[in-house]
Amino acid sequence: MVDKDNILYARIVNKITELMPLPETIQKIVDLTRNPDTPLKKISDALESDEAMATKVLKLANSSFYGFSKQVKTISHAVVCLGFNTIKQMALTAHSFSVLDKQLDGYYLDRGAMFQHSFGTALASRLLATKMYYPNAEEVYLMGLLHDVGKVILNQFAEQEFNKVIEEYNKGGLMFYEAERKVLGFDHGDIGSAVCQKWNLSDDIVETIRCHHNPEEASAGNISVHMVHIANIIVSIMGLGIGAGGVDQKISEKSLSVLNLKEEDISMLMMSIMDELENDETLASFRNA
Amino acid sequence: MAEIRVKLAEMRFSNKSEDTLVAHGLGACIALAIFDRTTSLAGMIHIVMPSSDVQSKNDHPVRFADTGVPVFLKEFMRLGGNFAACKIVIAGGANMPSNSIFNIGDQNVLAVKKALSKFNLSVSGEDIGGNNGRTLNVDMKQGVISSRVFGCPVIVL
Repeated sequence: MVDKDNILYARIVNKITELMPLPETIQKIVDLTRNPDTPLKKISDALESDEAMATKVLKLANSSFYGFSKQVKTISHAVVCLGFNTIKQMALTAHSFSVLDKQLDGYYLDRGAMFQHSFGTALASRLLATKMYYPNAEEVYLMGLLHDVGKVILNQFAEQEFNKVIEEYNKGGLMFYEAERKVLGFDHGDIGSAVCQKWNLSDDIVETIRCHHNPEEASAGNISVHMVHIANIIVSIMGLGIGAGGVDQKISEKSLSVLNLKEEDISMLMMSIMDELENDETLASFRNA
Repeated sequence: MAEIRVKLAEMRFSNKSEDTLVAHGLGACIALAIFDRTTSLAGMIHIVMPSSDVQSKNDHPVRFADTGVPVFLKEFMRLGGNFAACKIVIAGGANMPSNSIFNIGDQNVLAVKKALSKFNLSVSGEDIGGNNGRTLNVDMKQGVISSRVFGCPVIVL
């Protein structure tokens, strides 16, 4: 937990709404879906009021992952077919792509690299969720997509302090997020978690983003944190958008045990990630959107 | 100058002096580069995993060291490459500390070298291991193959 007297942390958290606002349409959908009794029509109306967002959501609804035999042509049809939780994840996913398409010099991540890492982690997280028969694989996808969103803020807002983080990391002996904690008193997971909190996302998302490097710190019932933790590591090993810190990460034995992963599972997962990267049409359509 | 990016599980070749072949962000993966000084033909393959045993049919040979290296070398020969006059280097093979399930980097290095030895070839330069990401670059004009760990100076191999 971040010290409540940490001035830099408080300053950054206060700036989140300005630095990384959630578009009004999506915030409305997030807030509406917090109440399970919200009529579906209210969600459709909110989404239809934002044409660009509605188009992106329809693109996602028609991606091969959902496997509808007929094209989903209207938002109201999509909301009925998929339910409002999935629609909410889609709207957030569509927005996250633009947030993550950034170059982060502090982390030695060029524009494509940050995007590729986040997207790869999202795919890998969803593969693990599906393997575990987890009921809300789309939410885990979103967690994977957003797990490093704190890096975008830190790179932008804490440039000077960040040089000290790099210096500390280069001394050796600490992993990159540990160097962040030592110098700043918090890491990019804490900031990412604060972003999700500002966006009024679920407690699971907020906690998973915060603990993705230290899943043992999450509450006992949180399984998704282990999926995102392992997904992040596998994707880093594969070199998908790795920057400062490289593959120098600590694997949680608890995560391996909770997900019951063996060596052959890791190989199969890497295969599936490559298959999905080759076949997934989401990446190309959103980068060009 | 055209930068030809060699992405995950891809192999690319060039004989144009204005080109560079580059594999960015190598983690545990291996980029194997070959450069024939006499014909100025260069090739690079970006291998992800050591053994093709994990796939049921051989539909992605380039992903693996045991199947990718032979495919790569045969294509190099087909394009006119001559092993007698070539430089062969590898970069990548980083490992996670502390867990043997994730030492794919070491396994990749061994598997690539083993596959090369079946053609009586060995590497003349390497930048492997550790736990940092790397980039491997073949500058066709200068005939220089170099590697760089993020934030560190370039190493000529």
